[in-house]
Amino acid sequence: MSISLDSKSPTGPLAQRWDKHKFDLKLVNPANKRKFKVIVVGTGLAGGSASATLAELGYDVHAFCFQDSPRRAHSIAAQGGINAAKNYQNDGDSVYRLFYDTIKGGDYRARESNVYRLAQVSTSIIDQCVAQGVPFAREYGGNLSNRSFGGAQVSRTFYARGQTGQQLLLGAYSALSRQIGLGSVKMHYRSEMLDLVMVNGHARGIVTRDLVSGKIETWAADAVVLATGGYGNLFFLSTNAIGSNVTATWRAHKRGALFANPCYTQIHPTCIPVSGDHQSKLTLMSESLRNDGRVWVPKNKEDVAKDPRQIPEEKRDYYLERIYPSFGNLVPRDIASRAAKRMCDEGKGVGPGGLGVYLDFSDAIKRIGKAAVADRYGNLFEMYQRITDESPYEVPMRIYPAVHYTMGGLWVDYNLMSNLPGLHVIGEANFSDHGANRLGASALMQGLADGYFVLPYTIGHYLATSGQKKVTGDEPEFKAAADDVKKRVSSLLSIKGKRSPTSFHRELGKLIWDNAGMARNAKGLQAALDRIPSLREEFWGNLNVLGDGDSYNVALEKAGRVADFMEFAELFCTDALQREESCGGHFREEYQSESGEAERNDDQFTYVAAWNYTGNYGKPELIKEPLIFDEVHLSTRSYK
Amino acid sequence: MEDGISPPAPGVGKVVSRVHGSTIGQKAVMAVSGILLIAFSFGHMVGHLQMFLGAEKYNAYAHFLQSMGPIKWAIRFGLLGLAGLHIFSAAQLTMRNNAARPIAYANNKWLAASLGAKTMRVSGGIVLFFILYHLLHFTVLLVGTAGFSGENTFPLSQTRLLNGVAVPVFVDNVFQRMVVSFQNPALALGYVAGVGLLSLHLSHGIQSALQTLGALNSTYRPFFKKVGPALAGLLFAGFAVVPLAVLAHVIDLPK
Amino acid sequence: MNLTLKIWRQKDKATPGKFETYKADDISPDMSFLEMLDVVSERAQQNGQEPCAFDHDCREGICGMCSLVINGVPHGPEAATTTCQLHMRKFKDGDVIVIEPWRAAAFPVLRDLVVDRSAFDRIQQKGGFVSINTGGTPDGNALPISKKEADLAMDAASCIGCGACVAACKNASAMLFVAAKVSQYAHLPQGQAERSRRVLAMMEQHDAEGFGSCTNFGECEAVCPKEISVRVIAEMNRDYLRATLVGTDA
Repeated sequence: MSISLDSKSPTGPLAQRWDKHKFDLKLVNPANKRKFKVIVVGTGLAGGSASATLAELGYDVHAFCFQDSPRRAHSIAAQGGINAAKNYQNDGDSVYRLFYDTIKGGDYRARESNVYRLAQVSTSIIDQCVAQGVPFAREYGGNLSNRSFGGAQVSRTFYARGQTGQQLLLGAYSALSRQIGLGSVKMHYRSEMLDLVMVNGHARGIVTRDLVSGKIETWAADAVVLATGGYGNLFFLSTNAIGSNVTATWRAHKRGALFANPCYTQIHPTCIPVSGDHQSKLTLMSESLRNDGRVWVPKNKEDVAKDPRQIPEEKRDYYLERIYPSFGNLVPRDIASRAAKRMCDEGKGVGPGGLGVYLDFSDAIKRIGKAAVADRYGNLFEMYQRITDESPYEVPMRIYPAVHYTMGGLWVDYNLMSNLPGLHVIGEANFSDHGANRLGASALMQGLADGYFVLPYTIGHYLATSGQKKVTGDEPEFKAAADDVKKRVSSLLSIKGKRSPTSFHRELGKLIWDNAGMARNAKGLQAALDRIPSLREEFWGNLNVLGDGDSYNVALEKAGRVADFMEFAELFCTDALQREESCGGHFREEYQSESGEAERNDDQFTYVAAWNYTGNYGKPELIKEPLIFDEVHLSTRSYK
Repeated sequence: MEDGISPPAPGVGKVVSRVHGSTIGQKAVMAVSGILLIAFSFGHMVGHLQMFLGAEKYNAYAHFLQSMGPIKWAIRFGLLGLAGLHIFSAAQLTMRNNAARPIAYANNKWLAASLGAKTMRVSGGIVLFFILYHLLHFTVLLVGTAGFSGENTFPLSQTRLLNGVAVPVFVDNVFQRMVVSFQNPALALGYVAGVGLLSLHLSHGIQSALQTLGALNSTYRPFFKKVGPALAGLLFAGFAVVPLAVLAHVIDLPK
Repeated sequence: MNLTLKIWRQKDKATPGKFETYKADDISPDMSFLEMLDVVSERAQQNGQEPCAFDHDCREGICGMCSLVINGVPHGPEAATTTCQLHMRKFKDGDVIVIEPWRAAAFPVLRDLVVDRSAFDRIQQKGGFVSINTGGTPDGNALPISKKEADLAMDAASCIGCGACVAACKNASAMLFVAAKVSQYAHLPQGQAERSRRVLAMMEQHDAEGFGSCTNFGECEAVCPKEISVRVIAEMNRDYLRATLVGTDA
């Protein structure tokens, strides 16, 4: 059975598509909204804002998070800022420019209609957050402050010190808290979604495990929204929170939801390098550091072990400024990351294992003074020093790229609904807006756009038109799904082998990083695809999870997530292998120019790769959604 | 918070229940009563210092206080009421606070609390007993009165007309009672220790009260962190100097 | 380096807990404190012991999930640092480290070092917001806010809700947490309409949850990983008393 994909993208003039589409959407009678129950899984920027807004509209919302509070969601860790086409700086920004930058930044692998809508609603997000009391940075005159960020040539990024994600999340959390207090949202803390329940071809509920009591429960609703974030922790080491996982989206995929572009992974260029085998995560340093820091490596391999302060100017290679003179240190993330990798591959990397490049502030300190540098980056410098024990005021920072964000996710149409009717996917969990690479300060924008200003309209259309009977949770589908989950939990507990879930996760992550990381090739991907099934087999034969399923069991939680990564890894590599081009965060070594730049293959690969689960992880079915560009001309991204 | 209806203005009963029924309200009661008691203490201290001016001045001052009649009783009941409120709120908060941490830490380290802060309950409790003794001793004349002069035994130089004849005004010789008492080293040192604990209590109490009442900000807080203990020290010095001066015979009965 | 750990173990809310001693050998000074615990847990698991549960997530000092009272100090010996950002180089070879959960009646232990901090959520639900719905808001620049006030609001808003203030307070008071939220809105024009109701409602919930009263000791400020000043508590006290005595929207 093959699926045909309808993106439901509106046609007509780009600028009017969203308005026209909103008009075409059916509305739910206000008096009837209370009768519709919506499950929202995940309470980050997307899930939190959606839950609050849906409840304000009158829907009966049940929200779930695996953390102890919605305020912990990993959106909180975003540092740099949020883009919006306000043009407050009068520097030529516009909705169209933000749209264009985002499409181009994504290497022309996103839908025009979606991206344009994102740019359009970006301005409302700022207004909304200001009204909530989000303390954005201000100028002395009282107006909102902006900075330029991550490859943009206009100042359109709004920020709250280095804690923009935190402040936006707390804004959404405050709106959500208000609704919980009013009784319009029922919040389920420390509850992990472990399966999706399909009834009559529609997504009608979920199965959760209460992480404290271990109780497996089912929940019935009229629609399900997944806002469960990205899958960067496939790599074990990433900038994601330790708990971030693919489980919710993967279980939905196994129930029939298509997974789109899984191989699009963003590698963030400015992270603190790995210091040893004990490392549990990588820490990102805000990209804003590149506004004043200069990236370099020694020109000569012999100098890599030297104290960087002893290396004279003429023996330093400021390679970003050399290769990309017009953008210099501010090239987009994928470009900066790959350039760092290339330098390290050439043996010029610094620090442990030669996996690092310098980010040097000595010129900035000379130019604007230590106090001004401290004012801009003081908190980041402190964080760096806490971790590495080195002061960036004295010694250049060492940075290295790390897995940060995943552009791929469950396939959704223009209404943010997956191919499974009723299952909506928002935020990083979907694939929709960033194409093959996400620009800095765009993740917060997309999460909030989806939650505040898109889903609340589109889900109403589904609810008004789905024509499904009410479900109570007593249907056999619910019991069957819960039984599946229980069986899986008990099988994880019954293996009683030798290895911990973490040791498997670490091994899987290294395999994926080595073969499908910043640069990929067919041979490596095939090697990974050959190895994953045997590793998975070992996992299911030699896993050791102590304790029982009826209590708080951290190893069991972890084991379930690793088990899903073990399955998902194969899809990830399969997608990377089939995409025989380099685009955005996906760099195939076979497809590069002589100077090492990515080479797209627009003739053959201007499509979304949406994968259908066939029961065989290694042989998923590829369904293509062609990308049609009415507005922009596909060009080679050049930042030279 | 959004019932859509504007609630009626809170009645006085509501205000009282909010003050009494909340942690901030009870702290505020402690702060206000504490500050008034501190103000009284300073007045009391200044009065005491008149011991250095000799028996005549001191006894006249004491007589003036005694002669205030209903005002005297109003002040006495007022002070008792303030102390009662202070202690009542402290007791209620203490019970609440003990319940807030049922299991203590095996290992506990203080980072910021001063000695005065850490000993508030102990110093407050001992000061209570000190004051009770002090009242029984000098006001009610129930304990430690051996050697005390009788009533109205001190002739002031001031006279009054009795049947057209100028006669001296006889008042209580409080000066003598003080000196007799503080010539006993145990009583003198006990008194010094008592006001010492009071001062320790106030070294935290003054700034704490101001913080509770919201009077401190980033400018005043560091200031009062110094001024609070300084005022407490001043109070200690003012009170302690009298018994010490008696012990050292700087203040003595007229020969 | 080699360390001895005394870790609080507790099966669940109802079962009393106790300390157990673990050897932590060959610990690298570059490890974070939680990575050290990862290693110890991993080794314990090899020996058939269930890994110790502790809350953690982002491991970059912002989510507020990690806790732990380390040698008597919430978040350990380094100032302005969460447990996840604390590194082992702050300890010496041979150290004995006592690790306890946050202790407060309002934060019951769920397992080992994990406590239930949902009391914070319930306080927030009483008034830690501006009552506006999505949409229909004025332009972001329609309301000028002085940089100074915006900065003061941001200072307070940087609270990560970890609960170290409660853990450090002799009275297990959550005043610093509540005051940070109250102060953020008090410094912004958006927060004025509900200023009195907010502070009364949030403090009412604070007291109902069983937190103690403020000591004014400043221990909370000393352990706060975001260095939130007790200035905010004075501000909240002022607001609370004003709302109680003369509040018109109370």
